[in-house]
Amino acid sequence: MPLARRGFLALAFAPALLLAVLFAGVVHSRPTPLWRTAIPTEALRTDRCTWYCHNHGCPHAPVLPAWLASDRGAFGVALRGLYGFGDALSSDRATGYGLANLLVFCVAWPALTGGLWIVAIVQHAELKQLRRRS
Amino acid sequence: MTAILFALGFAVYAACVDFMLNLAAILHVTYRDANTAVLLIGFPATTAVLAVVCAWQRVVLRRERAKIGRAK
Repeated sequence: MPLARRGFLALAFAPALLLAVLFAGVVHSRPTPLWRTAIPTEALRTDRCTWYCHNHGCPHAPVLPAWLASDRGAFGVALRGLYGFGDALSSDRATGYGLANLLVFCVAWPALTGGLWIVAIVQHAELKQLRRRS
Repeated sequence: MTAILFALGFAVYAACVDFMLNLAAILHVTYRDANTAVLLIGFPATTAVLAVVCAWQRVVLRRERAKIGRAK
């Protein structure tokens, strides 16, 4: 494989690799099963959020302003949007919500961002070539 | 096949929640803050910056091509 092609591939996949390492590091910063098969039931803790916050709604006071992190703010709007999208995908509310989350945040958005990143590095290389020529 | 896909999807979803919960604990913020910061600020900001960079590169590329065309 030519060096330029190898360099392009390394640059193209570097952010994905970096994110994967960061993701794994954060997920396993506490003992966490590698493959969950059921939603865990954890008790409410006052010092930090647990699965209780996911399962029952987070009772802790957010640090971010209300227009962003409250149920009436952007967070609430996004949540309602995901539930709405989920309802269109499945008759089971929880399954639909999970599926909507996966499709938006794990498939569509990363694909769009990854695509834009590839376009940016291709156009950067093209620009460099053109400037060398002129 | 559907069962395998469901199990995989569930495991990925659960890993994402674990990521958010642990990130919140590391940063001493709430689960809601971590979700908002990553999914409603970080993701859109990254995409917006990349879209602006791509659009700007397109404009510069067009200008450079025109310059070369004029020189010929």
